[in-house]
Amino acid sequence: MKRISVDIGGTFTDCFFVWDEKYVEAKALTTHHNLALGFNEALDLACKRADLDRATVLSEVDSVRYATTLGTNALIERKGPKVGAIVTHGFEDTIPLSRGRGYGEGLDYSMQQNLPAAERPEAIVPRTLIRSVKERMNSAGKVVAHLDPEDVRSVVRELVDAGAEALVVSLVNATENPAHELAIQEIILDEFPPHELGAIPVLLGHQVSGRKGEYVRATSTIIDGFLHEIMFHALSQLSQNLRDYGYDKPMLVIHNSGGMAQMNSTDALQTIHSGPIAGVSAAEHLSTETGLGHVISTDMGGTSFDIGLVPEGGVKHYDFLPTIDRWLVSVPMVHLDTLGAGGGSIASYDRIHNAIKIGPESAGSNPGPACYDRGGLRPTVTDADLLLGYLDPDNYANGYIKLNPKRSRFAIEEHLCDHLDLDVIDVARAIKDGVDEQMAIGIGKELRVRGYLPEDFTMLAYGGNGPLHACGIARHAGIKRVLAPPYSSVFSACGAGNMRQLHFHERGVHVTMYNATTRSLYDRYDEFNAVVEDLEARGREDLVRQGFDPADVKYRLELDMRYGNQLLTQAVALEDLTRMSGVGDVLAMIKTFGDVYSHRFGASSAAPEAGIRCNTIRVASYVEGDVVNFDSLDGGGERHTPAQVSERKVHFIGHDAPLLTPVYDHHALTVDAVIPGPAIVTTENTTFLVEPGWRLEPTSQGAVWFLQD
Amino acid sequence: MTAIDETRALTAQEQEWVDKFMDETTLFLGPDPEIMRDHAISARSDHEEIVLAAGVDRLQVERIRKRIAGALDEGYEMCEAQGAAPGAKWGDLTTAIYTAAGDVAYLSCHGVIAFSAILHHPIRYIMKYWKDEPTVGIHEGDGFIHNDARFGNIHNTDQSMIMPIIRDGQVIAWVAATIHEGENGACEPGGMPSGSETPFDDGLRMSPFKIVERGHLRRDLLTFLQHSVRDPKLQLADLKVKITAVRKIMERIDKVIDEVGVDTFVGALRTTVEDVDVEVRRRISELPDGTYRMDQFMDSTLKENILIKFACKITVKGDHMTIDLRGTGPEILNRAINSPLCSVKSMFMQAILAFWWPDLPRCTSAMSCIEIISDEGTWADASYDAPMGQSLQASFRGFSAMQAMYSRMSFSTPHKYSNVVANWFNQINTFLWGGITQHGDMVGNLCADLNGMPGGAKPFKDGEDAVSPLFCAMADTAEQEVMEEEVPFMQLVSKRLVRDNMGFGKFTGGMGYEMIVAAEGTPQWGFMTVTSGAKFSSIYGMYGGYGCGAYPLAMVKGTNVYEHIRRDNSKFDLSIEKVMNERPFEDGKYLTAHMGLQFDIAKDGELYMISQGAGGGYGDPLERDPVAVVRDAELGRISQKVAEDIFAVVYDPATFRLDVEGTTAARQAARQARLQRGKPFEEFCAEFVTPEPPAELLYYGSWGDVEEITATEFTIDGPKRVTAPLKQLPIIMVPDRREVKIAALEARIAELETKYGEDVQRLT
Amino acid sequence: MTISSPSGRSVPLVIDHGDYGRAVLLQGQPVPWREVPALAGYLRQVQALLDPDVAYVDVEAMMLGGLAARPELCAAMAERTRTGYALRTLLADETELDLVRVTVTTVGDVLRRRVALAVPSPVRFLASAHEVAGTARAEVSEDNADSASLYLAEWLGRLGGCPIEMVLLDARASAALAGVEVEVEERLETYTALTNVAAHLGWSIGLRTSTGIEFPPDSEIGQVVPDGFWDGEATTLDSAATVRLTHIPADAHPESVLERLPALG
Repeated sequence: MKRISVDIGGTFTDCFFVWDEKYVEAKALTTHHNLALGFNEALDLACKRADLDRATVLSEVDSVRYATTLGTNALIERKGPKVGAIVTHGFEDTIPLSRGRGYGEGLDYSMQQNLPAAERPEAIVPRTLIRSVKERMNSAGKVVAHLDPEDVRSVVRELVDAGAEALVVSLVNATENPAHELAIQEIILDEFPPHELGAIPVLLGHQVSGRKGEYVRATSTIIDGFLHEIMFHALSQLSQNLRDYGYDKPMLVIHNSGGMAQMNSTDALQTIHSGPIAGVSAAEHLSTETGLGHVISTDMGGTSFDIGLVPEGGVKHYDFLPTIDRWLVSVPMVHLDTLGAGGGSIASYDRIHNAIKIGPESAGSNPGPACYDRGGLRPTVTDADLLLGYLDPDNYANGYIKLNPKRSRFAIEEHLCDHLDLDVIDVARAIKDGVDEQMAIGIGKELRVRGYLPEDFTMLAYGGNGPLHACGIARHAGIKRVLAPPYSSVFSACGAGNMRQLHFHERGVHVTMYNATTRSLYDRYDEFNAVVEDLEARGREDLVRQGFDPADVKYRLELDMRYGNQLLTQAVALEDLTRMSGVGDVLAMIKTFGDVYSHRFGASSAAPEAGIRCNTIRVASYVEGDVVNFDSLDGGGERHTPAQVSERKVHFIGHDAPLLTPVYDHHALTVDAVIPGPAIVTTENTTFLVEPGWRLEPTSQGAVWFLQD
Repeated sequence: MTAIDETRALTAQEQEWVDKFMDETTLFLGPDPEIMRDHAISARSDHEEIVLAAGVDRLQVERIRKRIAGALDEGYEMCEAQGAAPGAKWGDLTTAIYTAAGDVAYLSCHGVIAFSAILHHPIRYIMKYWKDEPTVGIHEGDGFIHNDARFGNIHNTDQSMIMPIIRDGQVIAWVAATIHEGENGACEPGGMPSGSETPFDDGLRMSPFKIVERGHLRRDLLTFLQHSVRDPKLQLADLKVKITAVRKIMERIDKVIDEVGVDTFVGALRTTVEDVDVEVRRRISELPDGTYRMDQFMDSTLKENILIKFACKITVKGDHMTIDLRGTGPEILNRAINSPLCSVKSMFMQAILAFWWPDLPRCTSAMSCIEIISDEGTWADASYDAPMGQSLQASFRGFSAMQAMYSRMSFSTPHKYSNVVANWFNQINTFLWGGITQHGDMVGNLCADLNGMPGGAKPFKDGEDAVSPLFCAMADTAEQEVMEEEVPFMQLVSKRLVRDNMGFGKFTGGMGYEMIVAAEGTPQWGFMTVTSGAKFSSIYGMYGGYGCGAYPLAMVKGTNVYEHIRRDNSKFDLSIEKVMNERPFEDGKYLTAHMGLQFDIAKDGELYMISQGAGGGYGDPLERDPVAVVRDAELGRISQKVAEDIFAVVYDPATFRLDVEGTTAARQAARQARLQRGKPFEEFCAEFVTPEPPAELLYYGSWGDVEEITATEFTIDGPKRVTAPLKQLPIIMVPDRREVKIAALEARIAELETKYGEDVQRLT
Repeated sequence: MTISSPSGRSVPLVIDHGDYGRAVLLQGQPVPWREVPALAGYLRQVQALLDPDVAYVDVEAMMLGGLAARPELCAAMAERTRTGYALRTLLADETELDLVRVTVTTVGDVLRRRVALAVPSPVRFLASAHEVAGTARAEVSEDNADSASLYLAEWLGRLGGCPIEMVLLDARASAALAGVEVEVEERLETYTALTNVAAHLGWSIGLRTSTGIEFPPDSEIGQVVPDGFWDGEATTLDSAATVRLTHIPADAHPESVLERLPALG
């Protein structure tokens, strides 16, 4: 297997490179104006480490995979074409008004609660570019009002005259019957053939999302339309760069569904958050390969803390209505919980309770923590870490940033010490402990609302600040084992190297598995199976178009089910069942649902008496492929403590006096080493903080265990 | 009333006998005024006193709070995800932790503050009456249910599950979850009957009672409850959800207690409550001393057109604040608009925690030190015998008064805790519905569109259109497609802003949207609406801004609009304005009415049409940026008439080009006209102020700043205006409007018969 | 960082045109620093005439020169007398920051050139702010200068999204500094917060002193072209320079200026 996987993030471009048995990691600064430059730099570094040259590599690798935050950034910066929208009569303001939470989606809790300050985000489609057509379907897809082609023509003409550069058509109940959306598309193509005005891209709601919900589907379609051009442009730039150096296969793009596909089978919307999700995917693969069991992956960076949940067996949790930037959309996305806490979180004085509040404000990367010495005047978590002695001021972030402890001290004294009547170190300790606990609470909540217990989990800690706070977070969460995973500095890219080609297709349905009023079980098997077959056929087409043999395509059937009228729909993956042929199958589906539900909320909470509904049928179509092999994480053998390079006084939680703490460098991380806490290990990319009562045991491929004594 | 002769003092022995007799002959335990009239935090218990005297570690308390907050949010998310009630799906719920005495110490981050804000009433009731009652008692694993507003609730449609945390046999805290359930077996579906005429029409009247006994949900009581409501599935499912959520929260809290110990835990809860109390006093002292006044009015009983006053006067002196509700109109004993005082207080709390000081930790003490003066027997402080199905009518007006007054009180304070905002829209303009669905289920509930209340204008920006209910941040509105799958009606117009529907001003209030619905394919279905303001809006503008307009309910009955539309697509061009002006469905009967529609049977294809109101405007419309006015006109948000008449802006309606000079001239003229209209205040008062309300107006409340209440009593001789102190007013009941109408028709018939000399014999 | 040269000159040229522009283009009227549309119009004229490679925006003239119109801000700056308070208050003012932000963004848009932001050095800014506030200082210590540099760094950071090419700190003597005892000689290397924020945002940053202009090591080499150049005084152009800065005096002859300009090509 020869493979290049890249994750282009806001600051760094990470590269994970597989050349037969050789696994290489490399990093370069992201070059925003032309992503190919940073990409090439990282790749060159990897080639150098593998003793190869770029041209050879690119002409021989079997695939280049690519995860990016490009779409997210373009959305935040509002870089995109003018999008016009055509909607159903009576729904003219559905898009601008959004849903009740529209003003607060994507904001922190304090802004969500502040109604006098509530403001919706600037619209992607301004009201001037929304038109309605007289048409209506009912919830079963029956026509209530017919579509009038003349009406459509005049509306399209108005939108184009008003400057629309892309058109979104999203009609009510089009998932049940897309006839009107398709008819409008035809009229537009007829009215504006590509050879005339230049093609105006037309996106149809029912093709972007098969789920019910006129607002979320319209928003998804709009974002897709908005990002389409810029994504296509940037990806083309990259793929042109690859071709220039001899790579002639299609470039693969990582999806937020946890799969990937070729560029021409990728919607822009599917690439949002694909980097962090590739990290979750790597965690899943690692767990499967090495028998880690339940895993919670945590990525602690400067501004956010991403939590991914990978229970044993790899059953993933999805968000079907995730928030992207400030928008609620309808796309199946691997569940990722993001807390607004990181190294840049600002610690402020809480006058009411005479205590310290951490976040939600963040110093971000501009100005950054006070110790970055870029004019940041307010104390952050990183400032506390620095004063406690955890960080080496001269070797932080690979030496890219020099830290100034004087600034940290000043910021903490100025903002916190007098109010609290505590000295600088006590305050720093409270900040460090406070943020650890905050994140532990986040992890705990994340697990418990899904029916898990933190103590059953191994925590993976990566990201710039992950290994530094790992012991503290684990201690508060009640987790005993923490792993800084293999290739942790490029972990997302490593995950991209493992993904398989996968497509989801779904369809909103009204299947009453058990009708509580009539006390009867579902029996329209053919109807159900027809939907499944249709979804499988669409997945198969996607994969065949990318050159796969239909015989290699596998399918997994998933149902979103619920009791009575609950909001919650629980995704239920049916491992072996893909068709319904009798009452036994219906009962089997009900049982699987009941098991999943009871696990999550406790047996007593299941309410089958209120009826059981399935409202979405989803089919995952995929092909298996080669994967990265992770070595066993079992240490084994005798371990010894390596030689330290220096020592310094370090302050720990629970210890009033500073402890003289040995400091190690990357040479200490050998597979036969054990480093007892307290200790600090500083490597090129990260700092490992081993708190007293913990020990650090490196294993192969650069993975490191934090174990409680 | 005891008939003991009070002139002679009883001996201790006699007193004991009397007490014993009274105790044994208590008919039942109603709401306890001692509990219900008090909203202050309780005094420190002995335990709390000891713990706090020993000192608390502030940083540790902060950590405990964080963990409690995490647990409450966990519980909240569970309720939201699993709840079957539409309310649960939009976030119309909350979870909270209370001290042993029932003071809210912490609320979940999301959800309805007001729910928890008054739950100390039922908790205190449980502690006072059931703790030592041998047939009840409080044990580990017990859970109490409650919904009756008389015992401390906003309205009877919300149900709470309240469970004690017990250590060493002592209750040390409480955890509760509350959900707006909707259906509760009231005389109309949906739980908020506008047609209720007695308290018995209000649906379930659950005083706090134990439904979970040592961990087990009592099937007998559950059956009774299910039997008493229209939607037994909902009653069951959500009861389970609340129990599960509260237990989950308690598991987390148990863990905290195990770690830190009971004393520290109890100390942390009490410290939190007291910290907020201190902070509130400090914030009050920042406000300039003075008396501020904002009266609100309701224009209907939801059946008849009346004008009833909600009087509200705030006095600030140092760190003391008093809210005086005297002068408020009397309760109307056979109409649904009355509210218990606690419901009004809960909305005061909402105003304080969501609009005055959104950064304040959410706990009981936010209002503890604020004194409230109110006499029982008004529609905002109703007595036990008054129906309260639409208590929101009074309590939301209380909210608006508080919201508006703070904007004035804080006008000149240097530090602002939130934006000054003109009045938020305060009515739940939505459709309640009920009947049999296309799936054969019996249901009753309402459209989440009530959550689309428009926001008021700010001093620097227009208000947000249909944005959020005043009573709950982050409450969701439904997706119509998802609704249509469940219920047999369509929103043929779902969301379209209504032109000119805004509070005009330098900055305009947020706009509301119209909704047009029609049922189809159901054996039995009906709609109702429960709002006021079709004649006199309760949303005012601020500092020269306009208030909200008045909007009626409009209907097209007697025709199936679906048939028209299927036949002819051009008929599918609906808006209230068009339908009512152009009357496109020949065979239809076009009706308008105020917005208090009692449950009305809807045949297939009959149209029901309403509009959300608008938020209040801020500042003088003549100061609005003319460019913004033209932009609004171009977007169809305002008509040319409004642009010219209200904003004095001139533009070319074909090109929407602003006429700068024309506008300057028009504004100049408008200002001149004002100067000419203007007159000295004394002169104005002399002309404008009358000694009493117009004779034909059914007016309730004080007229001017006097103690006497004006009211119309319906006597045997017909309506009669009375003015008296509240205590001396007669009981106010309104006659059945159909009987009034019949009487009028009969009189007319008699008159005609006399006129034409007909002699008709009638059986009586 | 390499400064771009959209004019096509081999070494990009920055022109401090305030005095000259006022005399020649504005007929003696002051440069309208606080009126964005008028300023953009003026800068467009400057560009047509002199074609500098970056648009020169003088923050000192814009902010301190316009404070007469903001008596409430001046009062706030004078509320405390401690050293640095006036500057801190001035730099925390949102209205002033917005003015700079809008100006720089608009100028960038209209001229399609990035901006050279001329800002007083920390000490000079500190002294000027006190003078405006009427709480003049007698001395400025090293710590005062350091604090001032922090406030300024924070302020610059908040201009993060603006099309700024370079920041020019002006440490030359000014009226506000007359009579103030300054303990410290201003050096770029002591202002780490300022150089860090500039590096982070990808801007060049230079410190202009009475003797020349200093850039951080491993970045630009700057040359100040003296005023006399515009009157024909012989000037040697440093071939190692990667950016040139010049001030055109008010009394320079327009003909002579146009004649000399190509020499800087």
